[in-house]
Amino acid sequence: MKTLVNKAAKHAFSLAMATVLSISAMSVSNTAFANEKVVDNAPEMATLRGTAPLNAEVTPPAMSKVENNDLKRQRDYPQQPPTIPHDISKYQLDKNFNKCMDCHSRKFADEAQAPAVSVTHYMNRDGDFLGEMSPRRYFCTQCHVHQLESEPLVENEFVDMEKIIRKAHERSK
Amino acid sequence: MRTNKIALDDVTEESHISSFIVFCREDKHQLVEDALNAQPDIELHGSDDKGKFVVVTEAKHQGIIMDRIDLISAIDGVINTSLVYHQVAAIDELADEIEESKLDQPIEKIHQPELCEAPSDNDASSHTVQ
Amino acid sequence: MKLTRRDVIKAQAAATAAAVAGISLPASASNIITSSTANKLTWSKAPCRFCGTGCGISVATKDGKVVATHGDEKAPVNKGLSCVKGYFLSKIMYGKDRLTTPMLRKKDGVYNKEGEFTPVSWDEAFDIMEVKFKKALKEKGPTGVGMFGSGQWTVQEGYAAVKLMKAGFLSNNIDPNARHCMASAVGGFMRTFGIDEPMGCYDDMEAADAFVLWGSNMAEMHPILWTRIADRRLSNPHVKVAVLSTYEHRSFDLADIPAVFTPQTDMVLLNAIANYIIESGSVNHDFVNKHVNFREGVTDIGYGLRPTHELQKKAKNPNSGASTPIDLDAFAKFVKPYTFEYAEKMSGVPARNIEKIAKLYADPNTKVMSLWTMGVNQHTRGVWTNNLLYNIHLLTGKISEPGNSPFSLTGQPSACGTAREVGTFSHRLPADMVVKNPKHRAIAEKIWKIPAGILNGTPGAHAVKQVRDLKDSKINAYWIQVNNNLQAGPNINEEILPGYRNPDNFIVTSDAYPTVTAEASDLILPTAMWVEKEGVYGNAERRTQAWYQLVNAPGDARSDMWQVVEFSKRFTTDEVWPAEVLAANPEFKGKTLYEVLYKNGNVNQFPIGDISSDYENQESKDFGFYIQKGLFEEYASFGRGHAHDLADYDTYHQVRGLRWPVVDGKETKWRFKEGSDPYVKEGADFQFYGHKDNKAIVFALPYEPPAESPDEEFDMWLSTGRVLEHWHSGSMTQRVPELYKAFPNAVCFMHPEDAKKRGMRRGDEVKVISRRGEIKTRIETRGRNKPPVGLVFVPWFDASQLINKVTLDATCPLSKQTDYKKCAVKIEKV
Repeated sequence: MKTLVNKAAKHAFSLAMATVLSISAMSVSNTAFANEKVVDNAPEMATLRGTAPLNAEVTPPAMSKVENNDLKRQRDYPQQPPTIPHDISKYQLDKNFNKCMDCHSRKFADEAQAPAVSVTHYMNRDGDFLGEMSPRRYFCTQCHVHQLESEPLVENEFVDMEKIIRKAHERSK
Repeated sequence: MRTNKIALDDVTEESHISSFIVFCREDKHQLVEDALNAQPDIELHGSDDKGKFVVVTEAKHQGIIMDRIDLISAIDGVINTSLVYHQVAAIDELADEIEESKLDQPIEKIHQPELCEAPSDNDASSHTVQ
Repeated sequence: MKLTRRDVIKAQAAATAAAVAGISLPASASNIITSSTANKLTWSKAPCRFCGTGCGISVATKDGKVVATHGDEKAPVNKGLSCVKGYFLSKIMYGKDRLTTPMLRKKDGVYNKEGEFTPVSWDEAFDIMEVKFKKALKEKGPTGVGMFGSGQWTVQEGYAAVKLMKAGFLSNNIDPNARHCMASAVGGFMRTFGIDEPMGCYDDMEAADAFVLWGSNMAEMHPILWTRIADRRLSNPHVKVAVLSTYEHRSFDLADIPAVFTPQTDMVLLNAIANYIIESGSVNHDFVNKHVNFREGVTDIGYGLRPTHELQKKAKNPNSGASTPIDLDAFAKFVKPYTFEYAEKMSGVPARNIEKIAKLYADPNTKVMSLWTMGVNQHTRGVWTNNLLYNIHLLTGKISEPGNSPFSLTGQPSACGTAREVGTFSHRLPADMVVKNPKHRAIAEKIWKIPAGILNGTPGAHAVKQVRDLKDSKINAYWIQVNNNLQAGPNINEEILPGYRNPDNFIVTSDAYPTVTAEASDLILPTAMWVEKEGVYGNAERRTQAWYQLVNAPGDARSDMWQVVEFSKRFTTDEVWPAEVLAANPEFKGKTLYEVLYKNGNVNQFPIGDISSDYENQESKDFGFYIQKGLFEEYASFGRGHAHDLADYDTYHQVRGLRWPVVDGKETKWRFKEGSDPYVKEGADFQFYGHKDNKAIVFALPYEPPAESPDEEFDMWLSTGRVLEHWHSGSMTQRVPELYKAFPNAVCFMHPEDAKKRGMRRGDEVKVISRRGEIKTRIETRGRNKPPVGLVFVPWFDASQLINKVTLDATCPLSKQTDYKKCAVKIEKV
């Protein structure tokens, strides 16, 4: 147990900074608990909540627009379903009609300059190919989602395989 | 969100590398395998012994790949040939050893297959205006 | 061999096609890749981290990092598919704010409840925990400590925790968040069948002629099972889909028979269908005579609120599950008032639509699958409503056969495997046994090799009661693992936050990320997640699935199981067991709980050498034995031979899961049916062996109103729930940029007329206010959810909009599961 070294100096520093910044928010003292008002004296902890104390509610950000630029986005790995680079809010997608296929089916993809759905979408549960899109893939939005013009609250440090492989090559040199 | 806007025009001498899944009648598996092996430009990378093959080919032009798909499809017993992977690369880079990695060079990967049969939209009963 | 760019592209092309075709490339064909280890990805299997569907995932790792994930083509559940969350599993572990060291609230260098979170070592973390748990045990006894776990614990984690609490601290104050999720389903199964979990399986989805969704939005919450239903419906025109809910949602896109009903009136609809089955002469008398008993339950059972609450005082039979035997005629008389006309009046669903649904059940040639989850379970009459669903399948004999299937879906990846089968509930023991039953306790004591008579026979505090006990200073040392109860639990303002911040209490939270629960705690333990540890999950169709540790956790993060087992070293039997028990069993004296619970000859019986050499196993290396296998095998001995048989541990690493009971290496698809279930006697046809007389029970139970309904001041229904893109409280999925950007903030879905009436427009900032609390959010009048006039829907994934400040902590009085689907609110413009 003693061998587990505490490597959190960096985290400690950022917390210390956050503490300085949050002193004003904390100034309502802990005696408040007595009258059922719970004070949250570490409002910087839950990253997804920003700096709002747990017992307060802040103004939610304005609703973001859908990114609607039709620019193909790079994927982190080949298996990742492409996100939708346009607005689909008025598309019909029900048992009677699939609007997405107006452009993304092979028949119309060239004309619409849209990527045709991948070959996997023509396979049934057993992996055999069908003459038309498999019904199990019919509801596109189960895998493909639009993107709003919102900035993520927390950075993601995922590293894609090409970078890792390149690093491995550099190391092996 | 990163976007990949590298145009293919940047690549002057290009080469196309594609893979397909070839799907044939199970009883014709051996015959189709022999036929695929006999094709000079076709690399057979694997099969399931039940009528499915993984095939890779390289050509200077997309059209040549289409021709090869037609050739494969014409083999007796083949039911379907589906393009899975299609990558266009600058031809002079393909011989580079990977250690001299130039992964940031202009390369457009096209994961969308070009040869899927269109789904039938005929049974659509209503239409919403976009 | 030199590797060119051409070789790499070709190899990648081949590998992609092979993955699509489900072909594994022979070494000769993929030698380009294998010739260079630098390029090689390691592909392994793991069940998905998210919902109860239990999809198989192919996980690629490279140099200690997960680099790709997609649906496993070989997994029978999903056959290569995955929902958008599943595809982005690769990124859930890499949020920049992963917790990598324990954090303790300190002031002037020492622990202080009002202090600032400060990084500490594991030793210091366990030191203060030890002090606080010992103090609580000394002052209050076993009820002074508590643990709140999860249906997202692995089987081994939940099992290790149950042992520490129930056998170590002799405290039954351990409950999983599955209490908020599946407790009513368990209650329904135990009451109707005497044994937990579905009789059918997902194969029913390829066999049914009709699907009826009761309050479930599978299109978003069980998307991969929805693909199987969509496949069946769109490929077979005769198949019908009925979707019943209190608001319109994405599952309605496939509905042949849509029905939006007034909250709580699902009970009326179910009784109306039972009445129709009887009146139309559609009862399967042969089946009913042989396999069914009828009983009438007591009524007016209250709402699981504090005993001091007005509604609770008013109830005639609070919390009673008692019932008396009746017969079919009496049952027929009981449901007779539930005509289609009455049902239409109560529910708002047109009688012709109710009839259409009733006919699906009544027609002997239509195989019907009923599906439900939180709409039925998170219900102040949750157990009853589960019972009513089984009623209509039992009256028609549509059960335990391919396609005829009342199917209770689960929310969490191991709600079945860990919460229910392991028995991490405050009243349960493994394999459907209960702490109240002395025989069951004796079995557990024998398997656990602990002194006879030592286990505590009084059920502990359930989820909602734990929180009340924290607020009332009855529980003073409390450990939360794998869940985010300050966001997920009901009535945050009045109960949970005061309970956690109560100066008498010490709250520990184990999590991978700094959640709001972590923020409300006193000590945070950094935790390994998903494939950073080896484990087993059990999904909704009784499928047990195992995975290896594929990557190491960052920093000092450790799995929940490691934390529990390591903490057990801090206690000796002399400190926690009664002196008279130790006097009678002197061989236990002076031993640590680690020695008596985990180094007991069972859990430590498998050497490190049994671990696959291809994979890491951090915990086993620390403890010196293959602990995951030891825990699993000891746990499995509870169920073997008792209709809960599991295969041997190593098998689960080879296969894509098996559905229990696994007898002679064979899984069971349909329980209670001869020929499919090895526990059914020859010639019995059906055998509901959970009850001694081998019969299932049809219950006569009436409609009773909800705990709170809209009135003049609080004039709207509030329903809460999930969205497709986010898992539960969003602590993982909100850290994946693509999922965040797909649905960044909670909104209040509202009918445009309701908005207009209040002078509101889409995007306006509003307050959602109940008698208990309020949140600020924005109005959404479009999009995927279309509530009827008079109801709003607010998802709960958003940590910055804690909608559970607004919800009511009313529960089903029998299951103690909270009703998150209905309370009264008003909406005001800010």
